[in-house]
Amino acid sequence: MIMAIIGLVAGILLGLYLPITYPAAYSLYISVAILASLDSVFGALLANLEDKFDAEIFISGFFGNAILAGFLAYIGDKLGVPLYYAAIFAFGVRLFNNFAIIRRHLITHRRGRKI
Amino acid sequence: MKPIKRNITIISIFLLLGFLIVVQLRTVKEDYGHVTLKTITDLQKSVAAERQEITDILQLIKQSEERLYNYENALEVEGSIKDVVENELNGVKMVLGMTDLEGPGIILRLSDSERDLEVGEDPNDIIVHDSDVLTILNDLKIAGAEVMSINGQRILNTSEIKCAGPTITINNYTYAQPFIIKAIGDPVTLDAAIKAPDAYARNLKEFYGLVVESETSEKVRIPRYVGDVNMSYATSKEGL
Repeated sequence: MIMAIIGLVAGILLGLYLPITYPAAYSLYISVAILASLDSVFGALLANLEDKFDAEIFISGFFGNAILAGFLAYIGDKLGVPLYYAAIFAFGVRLFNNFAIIRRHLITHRRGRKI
Repeated sequence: MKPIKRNITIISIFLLLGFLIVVQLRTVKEDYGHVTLKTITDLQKSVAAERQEITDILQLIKQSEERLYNYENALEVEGSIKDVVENELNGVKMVLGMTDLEGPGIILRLSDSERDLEVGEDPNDIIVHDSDVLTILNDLKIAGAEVMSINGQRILNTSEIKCAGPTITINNYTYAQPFIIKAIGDPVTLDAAIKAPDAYARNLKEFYGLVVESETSEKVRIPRYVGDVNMSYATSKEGL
């Protein structure tokens, strides 16, 4: 957890101060990829709570989902079908599911401690 | 996987995630900045055009309200809007050229020259052409002529002035010289348009020797257009 927060803060700082940008045309792919990786992050968080966290699954899911989502958006653009909706729906739904389970875990955890 | 290695991978993955998110935010934000000068001018132009249209429409509303008020007024006072409609109809007819009109103006007589040709001179120099009539008509319009006629033919917006050998065709009727041009308007201005130095009619008279006689009158009578105005291509369309 702490490592994750440290990494996130460092990444945000790097992003703020490094003068790196990419063409605006790619911003759709990147945003879909970000959504996919966010889903992996929530999944990892859930796994961590359930003590089932596996770094390899997390890493492969993180990159694999991001790349697949970006690729899907790209292919959709080329075909003229907004395929990135598929990625948005799939990962969005999973994100909320994961979050709901995390919530339940946290709440039961707190109650169990109090009582 | 060893714990240290694991931590390093997690740190680097989250580093990448934070980095990507921030760069994405920055890129999307910078996207608002790209507006070319051409786009700005185009937008300004279209805004100005829309504003103009709004003023026009407001004007139209005002006119329509005024007419509506007239109708209602007539209904209240006299119980019928017949008079108002009749007035309107008469106005439209007057503008269209469907009524005989009278007013101050000018009467112009235009005919071929009576002088002999010089040796080797083109005989075209001493006869009245359709273009002469047309130019004089235009001069009179510039001088503010409201209604005009040639040899009793009312000049409408569709009236043609066509060369037909030694004659001129106006409204499908062919006339030989002399041509009597009548125009209603400010007599002084109309007269000046004919007689001023370098005016076309004066040049015709001075240099080519054509007969150009003009007189102003307080009562110039101009007949209505005889015939029908048919439109087979144009249809009325509101709101242009």
